[in-house]
Amino acid sequence: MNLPRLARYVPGVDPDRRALAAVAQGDERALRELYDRHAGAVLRLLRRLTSDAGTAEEIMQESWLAVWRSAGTFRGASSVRGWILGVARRQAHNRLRRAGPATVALDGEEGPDPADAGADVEAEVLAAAGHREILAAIGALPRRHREVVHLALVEELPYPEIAEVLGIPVGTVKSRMSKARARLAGALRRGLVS
Amino acid sequence: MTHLDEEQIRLAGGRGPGGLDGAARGHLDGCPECAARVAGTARLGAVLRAAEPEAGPPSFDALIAPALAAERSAPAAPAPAPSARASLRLVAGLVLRQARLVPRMLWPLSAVGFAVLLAAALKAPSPGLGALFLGPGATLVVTVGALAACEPRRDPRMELMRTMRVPPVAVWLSRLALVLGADLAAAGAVSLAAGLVHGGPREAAVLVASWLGPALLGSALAAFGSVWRSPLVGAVLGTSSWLLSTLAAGPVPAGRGMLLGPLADTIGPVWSTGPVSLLLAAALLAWAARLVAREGRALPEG
Amino acid sequence: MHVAISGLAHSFRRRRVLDGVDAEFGPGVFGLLGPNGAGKTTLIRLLAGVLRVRTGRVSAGGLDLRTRAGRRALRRVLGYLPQHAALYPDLTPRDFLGYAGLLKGMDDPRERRRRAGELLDRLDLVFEADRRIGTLSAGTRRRVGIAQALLGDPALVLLDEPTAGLDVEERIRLRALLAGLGAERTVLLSTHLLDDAAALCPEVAVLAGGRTVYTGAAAGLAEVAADRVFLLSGPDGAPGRRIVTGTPPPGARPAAPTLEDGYAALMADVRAEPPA
Repeated sequence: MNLPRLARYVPGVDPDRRALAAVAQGDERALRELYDRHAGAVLRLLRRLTSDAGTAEEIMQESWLAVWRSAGTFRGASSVRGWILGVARRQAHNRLRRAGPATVALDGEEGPDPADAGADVEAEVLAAAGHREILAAIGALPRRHREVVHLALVEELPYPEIAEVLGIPVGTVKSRMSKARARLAGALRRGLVS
Repeated sequence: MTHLDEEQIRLAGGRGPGGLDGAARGHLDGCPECAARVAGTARLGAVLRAAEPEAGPPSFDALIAPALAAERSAPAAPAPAPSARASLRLVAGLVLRQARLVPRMLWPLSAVGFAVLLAAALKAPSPGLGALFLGPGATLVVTVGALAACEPRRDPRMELMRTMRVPPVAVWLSRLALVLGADLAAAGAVSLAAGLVHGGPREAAVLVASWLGPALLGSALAAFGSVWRSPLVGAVLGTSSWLLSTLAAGPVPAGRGMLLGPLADTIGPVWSTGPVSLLLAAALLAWAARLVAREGRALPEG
Repeated sequence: MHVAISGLAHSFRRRRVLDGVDAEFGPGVFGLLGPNGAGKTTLIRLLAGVLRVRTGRVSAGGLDLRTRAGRRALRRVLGYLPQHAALYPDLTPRDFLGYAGLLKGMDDPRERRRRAGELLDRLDLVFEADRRIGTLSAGTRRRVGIAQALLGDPALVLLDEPTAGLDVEERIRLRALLAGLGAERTVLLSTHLLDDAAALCPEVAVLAGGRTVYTGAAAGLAEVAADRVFLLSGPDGAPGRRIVTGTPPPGARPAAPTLEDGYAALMADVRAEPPA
């Protein structure tokens, strides 16, 4: 007695979701498929979060193993790419937290949020600053801001999806984004003036 | 219309076409502040994207496949077996704990029973008569103890206990060991006291012999019956054993000769202290333990 | 701990209690839903090693539950609360947890006491810790049962109907407690109460007639009734909510499906499916 059409509700015919469901059943080929499609995005995020490429690759390996192990826990609330990025991000955070005080200091978690300089000042500063300065300023952001900026502007994920990936409310994502912009503008202004 | 929110700024500054609805686009055309925000965000995005290195991720076969193979072949690390010292502590703890888990009336009743036996044995005019009384008496107390120690087979607690690291058979054995050990020790103490009063160690040995075999056999039969079928069966077997041992001991020699005659030859060796009774008791207890340990014993439905 | 079940079947007295169960879940809280008699308790018993797996495959944390060694190894990392857990009425919760610790292999009495104390705090049993279990309320006894299941920090926790038979307040308290469990552990919670499952389990499996008829996100369960839920006026004019197959009657307004709707639609589909 079988009910094949009710066997598993995987909404839609999204190939990513199909592949993830297959991975949950132990299908290595499906994992390969997902890797081919999304490994680039994962590595980009990890390189943004860690300081060197070697660490990023190690975390990448651990992340995909975590995807393999926990594929069955995909809740369907975000896209598959978003979910995979969330897994990778958690791996990165665990690893970096364990790394000790040196890494924490670089994280820039301390420091008050600067006052809002005003949108036009922000735009002016960003337009005037060079690539290298902007990248340096981004690197100096606290990790929690960096990841929001990266996911929004490089991966171009919508904010609700970023919220799912990071496991925080959407409001927090938006406020981190605006704080990140304010910090960047502040850092660049100081850089330009001096 | 209020200014654009973060999501709209992001969409406007992104690479994709449009993304904003008509009203938002209209606002953007007329609002320098929002336009500035969008421009700033777009520049940020452009810089970040341009900075991404060309080199792609390592291939799946290089980075993931070997780790995956290792993951799949490694069995779950088995928990280390407990050390000898830990095992001893566990056993000791287990046995001692059983004292609180047997029926509460058992200890006072047994104590009273042994007290009565002690008084009677001390007051008996001769060791022989003492043995006649002590034998069946001690056997009875020990057998009842064994019966009380054997939990009913269909105990709903069993379901939980079967998932513990210490299996139910170990719990059962430790409970039986505690009760039997305590009872046999008490009976031994009574025999020793009475024997010493009446004569010496030899009398004590005689007294012990009057109950050791029958008590062990009776306990084994009661335990086996409880585990095999039900406490009632255990009680029946235990009581029958006690009666037979009493008859074998023979408070009424004349009646024994008349009633049992040929049977006396078989009952006698079995229901007295000797190799037969002890071996039989051991075998029955082993069988009962096997029954307790067997997986798949009946569970309450539901 | 990752649990994978494939093609699991079980018979009891010539009756097929389970007839093909497939499910997979990893760390987190996972719900097992279904009407009474669907086989939830049997499934949990098979996972707990109380019943032997004869047909199908079950693996938990890499351990094969078809083998005796696998079941024995699983007991070291398992916490279990059966549906009708009769505890020892003459013991106090503190004593009982100490005894359970012993049975779980903790040989150090100090360690047992410490862990028992920890769990008594965590499960809010401090005031009742030294009263006899037989004198405690059903909700409190259930919490003692859960404490015992959590003893030894097991990687896999199986709870069979942990909220059944409790009053509303006790259920709410228990829900708050269970919600915090899933971080690094795998918790399987069986219940026939939908709102508990919705509150606690991001992923669920629905069992009906001994088979899995749905596995996936709890939110996705509502989608089963998508486009089938309508609000109608009943014969007496009172508004009613109905799941409709085929064309809706005139005057019916569509409504967004809830978890209950999805569950009801699923059960209706199951009943309507012709036997193979």
